[in-house]
Parts: sequence; C-alpha cells; structure tokens
Amino acid sequence: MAQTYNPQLGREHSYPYEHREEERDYHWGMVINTNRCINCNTCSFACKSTWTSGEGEEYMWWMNVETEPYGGYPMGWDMRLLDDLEADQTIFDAAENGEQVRGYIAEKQAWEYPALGDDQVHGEYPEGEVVESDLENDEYHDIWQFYLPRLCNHCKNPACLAACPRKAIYKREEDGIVLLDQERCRGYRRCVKACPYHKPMYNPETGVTEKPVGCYPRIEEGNVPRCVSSCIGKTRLHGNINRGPDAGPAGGKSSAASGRSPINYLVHSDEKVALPLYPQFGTQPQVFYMPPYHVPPEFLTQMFTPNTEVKENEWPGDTYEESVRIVQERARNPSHEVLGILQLFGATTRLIETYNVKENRVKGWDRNGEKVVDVPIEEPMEVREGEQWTNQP
Amino acid sequence: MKLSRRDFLTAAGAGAVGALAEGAWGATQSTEPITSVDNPLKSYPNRDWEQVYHDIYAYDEVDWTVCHPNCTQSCALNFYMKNGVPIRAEQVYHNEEPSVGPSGYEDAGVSQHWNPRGCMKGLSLHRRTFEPSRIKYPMVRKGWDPEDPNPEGRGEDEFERVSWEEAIDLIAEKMASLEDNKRFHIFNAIKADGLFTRHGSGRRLASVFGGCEWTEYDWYADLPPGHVITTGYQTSDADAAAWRKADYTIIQGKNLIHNKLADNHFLQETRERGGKMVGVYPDYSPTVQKCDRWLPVRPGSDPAFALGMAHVIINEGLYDPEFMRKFTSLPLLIRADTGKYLRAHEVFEDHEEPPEDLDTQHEHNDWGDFVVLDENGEPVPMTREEVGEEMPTTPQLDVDTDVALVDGSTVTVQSDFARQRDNIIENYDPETVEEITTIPADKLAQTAREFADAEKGQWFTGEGINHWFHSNDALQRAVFLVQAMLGNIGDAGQGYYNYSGQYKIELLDGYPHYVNPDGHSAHGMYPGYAFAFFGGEKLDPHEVRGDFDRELDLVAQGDAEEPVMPKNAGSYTMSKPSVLWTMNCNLLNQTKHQEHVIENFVKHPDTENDLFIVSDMHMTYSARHADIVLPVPSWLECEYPDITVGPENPFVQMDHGVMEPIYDTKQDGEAVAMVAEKLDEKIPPEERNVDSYRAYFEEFLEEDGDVTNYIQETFDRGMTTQSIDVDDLEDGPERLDLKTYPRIPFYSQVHEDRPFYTKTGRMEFHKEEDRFIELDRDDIDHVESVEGTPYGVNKKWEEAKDEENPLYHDEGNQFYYNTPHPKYRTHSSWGMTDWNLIWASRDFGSVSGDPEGTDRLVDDFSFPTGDGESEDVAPLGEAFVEMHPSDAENIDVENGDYVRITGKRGDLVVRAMVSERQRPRSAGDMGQLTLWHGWWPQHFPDDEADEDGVKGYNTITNIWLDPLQETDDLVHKAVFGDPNVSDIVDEDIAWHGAELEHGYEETVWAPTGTNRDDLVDVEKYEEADWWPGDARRDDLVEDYIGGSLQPSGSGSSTGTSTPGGDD
Repeated sequence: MAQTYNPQLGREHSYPYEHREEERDYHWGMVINTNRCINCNTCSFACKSTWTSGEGEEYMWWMNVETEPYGGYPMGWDMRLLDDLEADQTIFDAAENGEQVRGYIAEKQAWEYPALGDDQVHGEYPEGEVVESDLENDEYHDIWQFYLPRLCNHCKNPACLAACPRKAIYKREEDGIVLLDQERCRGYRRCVKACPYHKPMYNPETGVTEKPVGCYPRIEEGNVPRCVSSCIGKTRLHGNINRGPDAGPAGGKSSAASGRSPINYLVHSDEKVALPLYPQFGTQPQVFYMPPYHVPPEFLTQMFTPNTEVKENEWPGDTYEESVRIVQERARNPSHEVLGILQLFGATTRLIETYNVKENRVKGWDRNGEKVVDVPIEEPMEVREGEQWTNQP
Repeated sequence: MKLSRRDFLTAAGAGAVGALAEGAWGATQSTEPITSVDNPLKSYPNRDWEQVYHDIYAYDEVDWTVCHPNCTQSCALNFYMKNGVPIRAEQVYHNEEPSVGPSGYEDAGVSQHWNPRGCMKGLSLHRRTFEPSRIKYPMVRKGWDPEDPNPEGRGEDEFERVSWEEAIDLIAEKMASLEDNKRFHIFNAIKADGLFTRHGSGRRLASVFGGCEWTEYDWYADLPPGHVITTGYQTSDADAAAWRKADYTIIQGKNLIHNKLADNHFLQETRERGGKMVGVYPDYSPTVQKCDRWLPVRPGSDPAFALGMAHVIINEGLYDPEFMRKFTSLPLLIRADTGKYLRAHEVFEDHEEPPEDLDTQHEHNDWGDFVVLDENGEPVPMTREEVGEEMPTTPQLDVDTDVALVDGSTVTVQSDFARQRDNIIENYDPETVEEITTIPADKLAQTAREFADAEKGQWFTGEGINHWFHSNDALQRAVFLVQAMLGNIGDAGQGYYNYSGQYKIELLDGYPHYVNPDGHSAHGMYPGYAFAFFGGEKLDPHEVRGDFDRELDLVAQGDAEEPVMPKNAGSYTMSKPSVLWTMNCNLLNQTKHQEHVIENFVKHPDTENDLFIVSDMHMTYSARHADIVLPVPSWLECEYPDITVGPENPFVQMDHGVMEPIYDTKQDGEAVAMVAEKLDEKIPPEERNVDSYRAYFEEFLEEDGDVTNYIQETFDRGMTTQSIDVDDLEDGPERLDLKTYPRIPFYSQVHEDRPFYTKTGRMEFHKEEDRFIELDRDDIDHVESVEGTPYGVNKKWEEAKDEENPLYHDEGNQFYYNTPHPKYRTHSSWGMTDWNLIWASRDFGSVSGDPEGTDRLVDDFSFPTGDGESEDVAPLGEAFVEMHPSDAENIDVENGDYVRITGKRGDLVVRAMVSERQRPRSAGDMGQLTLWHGWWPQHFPDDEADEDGVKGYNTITNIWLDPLQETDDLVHKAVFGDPNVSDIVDEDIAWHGAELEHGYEETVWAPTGTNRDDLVDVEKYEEADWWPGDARRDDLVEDYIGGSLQPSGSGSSTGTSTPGGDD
C-alpha cells in the first residue's frame, strides 16, 4: 500500500492510492464555529429537502447536528472506532485482512433516531455551586454539552474512495468534492462500512449507496452549499481551503483582494482557530471546527486532534491538549482579523474566494473577483430627525 | 395501550434501512473487474452521470413568501417550484438571484449582518402543507343542530361534509339570531400573524357587529405586567441587531437560543466582541451552553435574585444617581401614612389640585404634580413632564423627613429610593438571597459588581418567568430597578427585554383603521374569566386568585352571575360567548386547566356556547371539538396577500401564495366576508349595528376587488408605514419608520426628555394604586408562589421560610412542572410535520417508527367520518418528560419508561427521558419536570385508568388570576399611539391625539396567565420493555466523555515523520 504524508498528523501513513503531485489550486472546504451553533438543525432540513427527500432516503440525514457528548447519528458512531484503533493508528493502518480500511457497519437501530441525545447535557447538577468558565485560569464548564454539526468532510484521503471495490467513488479534479457514481455503484456498501463519519448511506429501494455531494451543482455556480447558506446562526464559512497567502487576486481582477481565502486563514495561518474532526482516523477531513470554549479540553483533544502523547504536527503548543486550549482561547477572544472574517459568515450565498479586513469594514470577493460582501464591523445607530418620530408608536 | 417490544423486522417494511442485512455482504466477493478507472483520487473517466444531481437540484421557477407563525420573527423565503409544487425553501439574501424581488432585505435598508433569516420550520413549510392532518373541506358536527347544539357530543361525534355556502349560512343564521351581539366572539392567538386577509378580518367583523374579541396574548402569559407597572409600556423589547452591542448580558429563565432562532446570532456575537454572558436558570437550559457563568436558581425564586443584585449595587454605591434622578420615581416623595406619592398641592398653597375623583383624573390626564427635595432640603414641585434636563432642580435621592402641609399638619415622607433601599437592604442581602434562591452569595455579588462595571448591560427574562404568579410583576419590576439604577436604559446594548408574546401589532400603528373601522371597536375579553366562570362547574374565584383567606371583595360583572371580580375592575369585559369562532389558534390544545375547560366550558350542557367554529389548516384537538370546521390554506396556498411585522426585527413584509390550493380552503378574510354578506341578507337594516356589514368586506367580494387597498389605507394612517407603497412589498421586505434603527425602547425618553407612560412620567417603582397597597405589593418584594413552593404560600420570605406548604410536605407534590417552548414546533404548529416531529421527539423520534405507536397515532388522527378520507400519519414520535436521574431512580424509572404525573387538577401519562440537565429535588427542595409544550394529544399514550380522559400536557396546568392585575386605575400607554407626540403627528395618523389609558386593555393590561405555577408528583406508570438504543448505556461512554477512550500512544510508531505542509 502507498504511503502518504498527512499534515494533520505530521507523519506518513498508508493509503491505497497515490496522491496528485501538486495540490489542487482549489479544494472544497468549510469552517464551522461551534460557539455560534444553536442546534436549530436548519442546515439538516435544508440538506434533506434539497437532496434526500425521495423514496428509500427517509432515514438519510446527510447533514445532522449532534449534541455532544450523548448525541450521535448513527448512534455512538465515533466511540466504536476510537475504541478499536490503537494509538497513532489510522483507519488505513488498522485495516483488517482483505480490506483497505478499518470500519464497521452501523446497525439499522443505530440509524433509527437521528435526534438521539438532542440537547442533552453531561455532568452533575451544581448543588450549592455555580458553573462557570474562565479560560485564562484553565477553568471550563463541569456540566456541559455542545452542538456538533456533522457532514461529509470531502476528505483528502477519503475512506469511502479507498474502500470501493468498483472504484465508483472519486475525487473531482477541479474542486476535490468526493462523489459516488450513482450509475456505477452496485450497492456493496464497502464505503458505508469504511467512512469513519458514516456519511455514505445505502438506499434499500434503489439498491445503490448514496453519499453527500458537497452541493456541487451550487459550487459549480459559485454558491455555497445549502447547509452553509441556510445557517441562521451564521456558524459557517465555505470556500477554497487550498488558497494560500501567495495566490493572486480573486478572478484575476486587480480590484479584488489577493492572498488567502478566509477559511484558509482560519485553518492554516499562524493564528489557527479551527480544527479537523477526528484527524487521527487519517482521512484528512476538510471541515474544520472552531471548538466550543466552555468544554473541557480533554474531550476536545480526543475529538479534534491526533490525540497522541507526542505532538507531531505544526499546530500551536507543545501538546495536543495545549493546542486545543490555545485555539479555544483564540475562539473566545478573536483577533481583529478573525473577528473580521467572522463577519463574512452567513453574509452571502456567494462563495467567498478572497477578503480583506479593515478597521471597521470587511469585504469579500467571489471567484470571479466580484465584490459580494461589504459590511461594517460596528454598525452605527440611525436616529431619525424630527420630533414626531417615536419607537413606541 | 400495550407497550410491546419493537419488532424491527416488521418495522423495516417502512422502507429505510431494513434491507441493510448482513447477508448482502457476500456480494462484494463476486465483484467484476473494473478496468476503466485507474486512480479515482486523481481522475475519473466518465462523469456524465453527475447530471443526476443537477436534475434533482433543478427547478422551474422561484417564488417567495413569508413564513410568519406565532414566533415573532417573520422570515421571507424563496420557494423553489417544480411542476407547480414547492420542492424546497431557501432563505433570501441581499443582491442575489433568485432572491426576494431583486434584493432580499437590502431594500429594507439593512446590512448583510441580517442574512440569512428563516429556520427549519420555514424550510419544512411545504411538507406541512402536504401532511395528512390537513382539513380538506368544511364540515359540520353531526350531533350539532342550530336549535339543539348538544355540546356533550363535541370531540366525539362524527363530522359531515358541507359546502362553504351551507357552512357560512349556518354561522350567519346563528349570529343574526343573537339577542345580544356582544355574545359573538372572535378568538385568535395573535392578531399580527394575519392582519388583514386572515384573522384580522375576524376582528373587523367583531368590531362592526358589536361582538367581542379575545386573544391568547393575555391568557397565555404573554403579558409581562411588570413592564406596564414600571414604564406604562406593553413590553420594551429591542431589535435583535442591538443585542450584540452589549458588554454584559444577564439572561434569566429564557431559552433564547431555541425560541428566537432567526436573529439569535446577534446575541451569540456579543461574546466575540468581548461581551460576557451570565445565565440564571433552574435547569441547564440549552442557552447555558453559551453562558460564561450559570447561576442555578430554585424555581419560582427569581425576583429574589434581582433584588439581591440590587442589594449589592445599593450597598456598594455602584449606581448612577444622575439617571435615577432624571428618569425614575426614586427621588419622588411618598407619604408614609397613606403610601401615596406626595402631591404638590398638598405642600404648596398656590399649586392647583388635580380633580378629586380618579375617573376625572384619568379623563383629564391629571393626577396632580409630585414633590422632591432640592439640594438644600427644600420641597420643589415636579410635574410628570419635568424629566431629564427639564427638571427644575437637582432632587435628592435619599430622603426621610417630615414635610409641612398646607393644611397645617406635618407628614413623614420618604423618597422612593429610600423606601426601596430600606426594604432591599433589610431583606435581600446576598446571604438571605442564597437561602431563597440557592444561588451562592459570593457569585451573586460578583455578578452584580461585574454587571455594574460593564458599560452596557442588557437583561433578558422570558415567558417562562411570566408563568409564575409573582415573578411576572415582581421580577420584572426588580430588573427594571437594577437597570434604572445602572442607567442601562435607552441605548443599544442596554435594556430589559422580555420577548414574551408578540405585540407586533403596535409597530403597524395604522392598524386601528382596519380593525376598528368608523369608530366601531370589538370589546376586549379575557379568556381566563370565561374558562373559569362560564359553563358548568365554576372555579372558586378566591382560590384561583390565591386569595386563600378569602379577603378579596369580589363582585359580579358583565354576564357573570356570581361574584368573580375584585371591586374597581369594572373595565374588564365579561360576556358569555354564544358563538365562538377561533382562527389561527389551537385553543383547546393550548388552554390551561384543560380538563376543566373541556368538561365545563366545551362539553357541559350548561355551557351556553351554542356554536363553536374553528378555522384551521389542520385537524387539531380544537378542530376535533368544533361544531363547524372551516379549512384554511397554508401560507403557500393563500390567494390574498397579508402583512406581518415583528418585535425583534424592523421589517414589514407581505406574504402571498406560491401554489394552487390543494383542498377546498378559504382564507379567513374571505370566509368572514361571506358571513358579512349573509348578515346583510338576514338582518333588516334597522336592526344592524352598521348600515351594511358587507360594505366592510367589499374588496373580498367584488369582482374587481383588491384587498391590498385595505393594506395601503392602513399604511397611510400609520407613522411607521406612511412612506411605504404596498406595491413595493411585492418586491421584498421594507423597513418600518421608527425613531431609531435599531429600535431601542425609550430612546426618546432618555435622549429627548420625554415622560414615560406612567402617572409620574418616570419609571415607577413604588406603586400607589389601592390594590397594590391592599395586597402589600406597592414596593418590590419576592413573594413565595401561591402553590409552587415548599414554604408558606403567597408570603414574603421572612414569614414564608418557617412555614410548610402542605401540598408539598403532606401530599408529596415536590416537582415544578415546566413546559417551555419547543424549537421544532411553534407552539402546537408543525406538531404533525414529519421531520419536525422526528426531531422534536428526540430519543423517541424514529425514522421508521414503532408499530404500536403507528396504530395509536392513526386511530386518533383519522377523520371520524367516512367522508373525510383518512390517511395514515407516519408514526414518527411521541411526547416525553425530562427528569433528573436521581429523581428517576427514586421511583425506579429508567430512560424510556412511562410515568404518570399528577397535580391538583389532573394527570397525564408520558414517556420519561432521564436528563442530567433537570434540577433534582436534592438541589434545594423543588425538583423540576420538563415537558416541552405544544404536543398534540396523539403524542401521549392512553392512561389505562382513564382511557377516555382528556389527554395532553395542559391537563395539569392551572388558571390563576392575579388580583394585582385586575386594577382599573393603573395608567399606561394604549396599544397604539405615543401620547408624548400624538398632538404633533398628522391628523390622518390613526392615533393622532391619543392619550394615556388606564385599566384593562386587551394585550396590555389584564391578569396574565400564570398558569404553570403548580406542584406535581410523579410515579412510575409502566416499564417500557423496549427503548431506543441508548448511547448512554454503552460501556464505552464514560471513557469517551473523559477523553480517554482512544489510547494515546507515543505518536510516531507507525509512520515516518516529515515536516511541513498544510492540513
């Protein structure tokens, strides 16, 4: 099996296919600020109404929001793999005989309750005490929950792709979206077993497996996916995760900003504020989460870092738990640049390729170099002149 | 009902994942070789198939409308249509195609910060439109006869399909035969959801006909009386855009992250901007997740918390004396002997007296002038207009002295500040407050200091608080006191918001022109009275007022036959509804003390309610009990457009249908117009209340009629809408013309020195109205609940703490019954929409369902007649009650078992969800049970002990009437019109010349429904022998939560480390 370098882990591991020699100029990516998420599941309904409201798709929620730590669709989906994997073993390293990927099939019952654990909380009721967090003093909520929006990660090492015996799953050259060819699939469900995020789902009516499509009909038009555009909590930003600091202006237009995409800044700049979900599985997921700042870092370290004793990647801090603490603090008290980028969240349905942040104004340009966002950070109050006006009509 | 083990193989027939059986795995072994794909990570040869998803995504056209249920938010949505059917909805954005008209909310003059708006309910509106509970055609109950209404058959008889003409004729005939037109009653939940062409037209009919109108606003605890008591204003809520300007937010008993979804981000954004958030809740409300600190509070003790905050602020001198002097009653002098504000004519010879009796005072808006002490200790008169910079002197705040009166006597007076301070310092120190609330004293004090230190502080309380008999006034008055002492009023990021109910209606200030045409105005009606005192058995009028010692002097009023109302409450309407027509309202599902209401008001032979008409989209519990059922279209099917406005956003929006109606439905406006037309036929001109009823609804009836004319005429009569052309609303939302954007309550009071809408012109803390004094609630105190307390009921702490509530101690009702607003429903609407029901049912929401549950839902849900085609409803979920694990363990209940909850007024059986978030009894006496509100009866199992009993979450709630709120002499602003500027607005503005009002006013001042203030007990009913697979039982879960499930190894045992590269 080929070896691939995984920057999320800071080391090489096996993967059945060779990667391209050069990274794509463009790759689908997303950042989710869990601190803004209100668990309304509008994203889930948006996704379902767009893609999976057909026969045999009744149980499919490509997009779902889980309440950690008790939620899970399918139930307990992450616990089993965490238990099965050795330390610093990816799902590819841990593959069993004849298979490419270590995984498991979630049983029907596990898919039955998409809202399981919705809004549940973990911890002791604070009898005679209060619950509070104070990040500077490493104090976190000791009764806690948080909302984890879950979707296909359009991984750079997709497990579904690795597992498909018919090679019916592929990564699009132009944008990295991972698709399952509905005409070639024979319903073997290797991908259903392999994906550690459990997003490929089998349709018993058609006998074919379906997987999330990254809203490619929208991406092709320069719009963001439905789960992003529908997010009333303004928790999400979608865009080109591969656009780094050296890239030219959006659309080649000199009027547009050049350099990093806003999500690239949040994920790859020196003030990284967003982390991948279970990077230790080895798939290089491309959805990144600004972690909840009230939640104990021990849990988040297991969920959002390689979770090894020795830290091997380039994230801040000397240990992964320290990385988490640093990122939590950055999410709680964002820099001006990050605060500026947060104003782009939910501002437009257009896909924001480049941006700039000034003292009190944030702008964004789409892939054609058209300006699509222009907002102040602080909005002044408007007062109508004239004695006859009132706020209590 | 039998709770049998689920048979998954049977259930698999429902579709989904049943076929995912193990055997199929063998198939992968016989894979044919694939040669055409080399490395799918790099490239893929044939991508033509991708057209599949382009086809799924494709649509023919886009049309837009507005989703505006009773949630206050109102969101414009684009509906994507294929073959005339909406396939999905998307929110609208600025500048984008396809969007609302050309530019979404941009035309409304707001920034992209408002994008996007519209939650999961709007996104499933098309599924709600097509779901099987829709009412398909008009129906009449078979047992009903105009001459013999036979109310006992309600809810049981079958229905018969009739034509619209027949149904309308029956209604008009009954109305025409009324001897007293006042006994025609229209009931709608919230007027502002369908202002013109829907139930607003019902109000218009009631007005011209001379009938009554009820709204659920008053009844459903939507009134926050403390606001009216303190400021004279209905409820002082700001635009959501103002929230994020706060440096410090206290959020108390309000689950804002689940019931203000659309614009919630503005609150979450405060924290990114350095803001701090502190939550005060008895349970770990989902909103606690967003708080920096959670102060767990004993249910019902909230006012004491706010008073404890006030204690620290006063004791440590953290207050803002200038604001207090300028805008509050705190410097005004109060007579120690009478408890009345000292009047200027009592002190100054030459000062004119106000009229002697109260009625004339109200009539002249002259309640006398007030008195302060200047810096030299000299009394100075102060009129209600002399606020802010216009004060004649700088008054002292702290006064306790004797003042010589013109009659030669001397009277001891205190400033209001001295009065409040003395009481608070004596009774609400943080340690005492800890005893009352269980909130640690040091953390309360720390919170108070931080809050006082913040430049801008805002405070939210919610409707849950309103449900406590005493919290709704005392907590609100106490919060206002803190905010006034800190000067946290009148700017963005400051204030005290309640967001209970939707007084949206005020913002459309030309509205009286439509609903009260030509000076005809429907009588207001308070539902609590009707349900408590009309029909069969009446409730005890003392008992429901917490007047256990029977001290209140009650009198009969209106149609009432026996004493029901305290003296001096004469403005409260009491009329028995012979004809009751509900629109936009699932009255009987949502009503409190449900069993009493059903058995005595709805089904009792003596009800005197001869005709009960329900207009609804769905066969709700209420529709099931109607005599005549009228089907209405969904917002997607409406033929006539309508208007909506909301209290936390600045928009006026107009909806319109996007598809052909799928059933034989009519909008309320059209049905009402048809009734009006019939009334002209049936009632001779000389007996009519107006020349022609039909004339008021011509735009609905004439061939070339255009109902938008009604809308434009109304816009032209309102300050907020005068500049808006109704045609422009067809292209997208517009912004209302108000003093400020974002709208900040009392901006002009604080920045332009205009009086508040009270007698004193100031935020008023001490109240001098007789009833307040009689009840010893003239100053601000925490009073223990009338029922929901372990301590002495209806008493202040000093007395209450050493007493025992027998209901708690002897009868063992030791839980508070909490029924907060759900997020996947708006009240009971979307209750049967498949996706919403699955999610609302949480652990018990199944994508393929429980076969037993299927039967139950379908049985109860089917139309009870052969005519109405019965379609199966997907068995998707059921109701549950949350309780703490330790309390569940006490009664041997595990997650998923069934429990019976029993209160003084009824009981119910429901599934239990064991939940660590609930307050256990061990945390300080009162435990809490949470049953999210708005479930339909179908979501509850039968109770074998009472199979025909009333089912629902409201069987154990109560009807309480607070006599404090039955006062005729409380001065306030009317719903419409700002008396401060009513003389200078144009004469064509509907509220030109409006003055202050007093006493009862629908949606402003009435006893609010403090209906959940009760104690319940819970017992095991039946063990479930199946429950959804429960992740919490998994052996792995403990390690998972602790972050130690995966062993963390050394790091580089299997791979080769190479530096560099992005993630």
